[in-house]
Amino acid sequence: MALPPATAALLAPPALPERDVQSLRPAHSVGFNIATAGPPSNLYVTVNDLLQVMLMGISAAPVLVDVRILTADGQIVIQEETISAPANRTRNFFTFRLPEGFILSVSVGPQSVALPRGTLYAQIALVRSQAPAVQYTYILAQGYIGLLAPIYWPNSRSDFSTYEQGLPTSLNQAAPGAGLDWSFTPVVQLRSLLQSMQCTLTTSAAAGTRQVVIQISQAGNIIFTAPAPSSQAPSLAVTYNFTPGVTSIPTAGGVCVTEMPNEVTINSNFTISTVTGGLLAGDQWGIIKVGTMDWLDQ
Amino acid sequence: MSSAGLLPSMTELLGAPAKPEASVFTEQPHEPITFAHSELTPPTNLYVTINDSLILQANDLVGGRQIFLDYQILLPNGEIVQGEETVTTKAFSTGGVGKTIPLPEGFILRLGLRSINLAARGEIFGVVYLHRPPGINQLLLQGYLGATSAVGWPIGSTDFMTNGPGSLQFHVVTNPAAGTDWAFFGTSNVRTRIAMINATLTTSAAAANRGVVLQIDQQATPYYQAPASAVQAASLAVVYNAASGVTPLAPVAGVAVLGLPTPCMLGSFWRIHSVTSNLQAADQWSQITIQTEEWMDI
Repeated sequence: MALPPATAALLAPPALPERDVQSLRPAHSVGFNIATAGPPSNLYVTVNDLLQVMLMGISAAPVLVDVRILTADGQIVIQEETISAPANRTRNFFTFRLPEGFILSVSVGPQSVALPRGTLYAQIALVRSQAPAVQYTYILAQGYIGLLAPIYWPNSRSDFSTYEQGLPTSLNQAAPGAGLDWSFTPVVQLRSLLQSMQCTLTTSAAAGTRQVVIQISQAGNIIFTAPAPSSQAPSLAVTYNFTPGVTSIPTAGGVCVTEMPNEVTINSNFTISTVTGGLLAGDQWGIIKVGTMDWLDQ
Repeated sequence: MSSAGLLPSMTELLGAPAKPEASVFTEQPHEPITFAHSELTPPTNLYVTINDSLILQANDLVGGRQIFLDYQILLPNGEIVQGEETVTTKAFSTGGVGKTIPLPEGFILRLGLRSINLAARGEIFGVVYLHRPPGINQLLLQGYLGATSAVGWPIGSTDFMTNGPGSLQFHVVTNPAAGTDWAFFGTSNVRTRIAMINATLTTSAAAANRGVVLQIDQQATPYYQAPASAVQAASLAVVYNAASGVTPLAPVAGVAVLGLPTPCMLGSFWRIHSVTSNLQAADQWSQITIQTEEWMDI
């Protein structure tokens, strides 16, 4: 079997860097103990420490964990593990025992699958705790991971899950029964910023004017109500758009736009729904799409 | 607890010692540089004495949750000791909680602060100082705690209370007496962003045109007033909505919209309230609900 590219590169002749650029004078007074240098890391660990990786998100993509350890006998050992977690937004902990030594580096990142930011959140930590649950104790790195965005130590990054950009998400909301309005509630432990909502109301031939209203509520308490700028007559199909940052436009060409507040941030405590005045038994809501930017938040 | 009665992390630790193998061939065997593994200097520069102590402080918008501070310290006899302290938070409105932890002489290797309860962003803020008498406090770590926002030292973010997203909150304002306006006050030591407001004014049969204005002030001179686009006549119920980034609208289907500043921030004890001209004795404000984003700010 052919050697992996990394190994083939290692087996090439040793590098012999040349002084291509004149940047120093030859004499210097300070000397360095090259023969028996101190460990090139200050992350000393013992057999009582555990290395823990936490994954949480909506991808079960394989994730590579690489650890380099300088053990007490002076050897540099490299460990590599492949882990993956269920795509259900729960926290999944992977714990690895450690020898005594100095951790030289740790990295966690997807192996080959592209992951848009906001899809999979990871933490690297040392655990040494008697608290009731196996959880991080000493954080080494944390953040959303992607092909070009691993988390690592040293020079690590520590990104919180609600910082910077989240995951653009488009949901197809199930159509309700005829004559009924629809509603949308984010899943638990998620923070969602509303981008837009689109839905189509097809009215029956029954006489009557339908007035569409979008409503945001919390446990039945209404927080915001936005009426569509025009009502809808029988036997028509009108596509309604609800979005921040635009001016409301009455129905034109079968499309109606309703302005929303410019930052509708909600979680599973909140519900967005239509409340259609004059909705009749044969009227039907359909093609309901909700666009949000989502962050894990727990 | 595990089946053996041990905590999960202890069960892991008492397993067979790790024997990491070079499972990945990534290096050639020749290594002229060796690393000393005895007579090393301590792997940290945070030297502390018996005159120093750690100070843990926690503030929680909700309260009643357990915070753990873990720390590892290298003692003069060469032993590494794991310390763990815990506090239970109180609701922020009743003040924060704190604990002083005396230290032995030694070198602090690392610190970790966490909540064992899931917490949404913006709810629990923790701080750890190194206190050096007479009055020197050296900040070691601070930030909002949660499963996806670990804070620690020497690795981990040092964040401020008002950085990043805040806590999503929801308020129901008590109905005022008939014929009087309502008011919502920003909480003490909390920075409040008004996201959305909903309130209903039901006018009595007394003839008069009521003019609704939403006013923001510091209980003195207003700095913003949002008038409704149309007056409200007798014997009507109109739902008034207000948010940032919306165009003011006269009532459509009994719903009126008022625009707020972007962002609409209230400081501690600032207020947003209705100022209704020609409000009659039997007119009634009701169903007053407000969604906010809040940051503790001390």
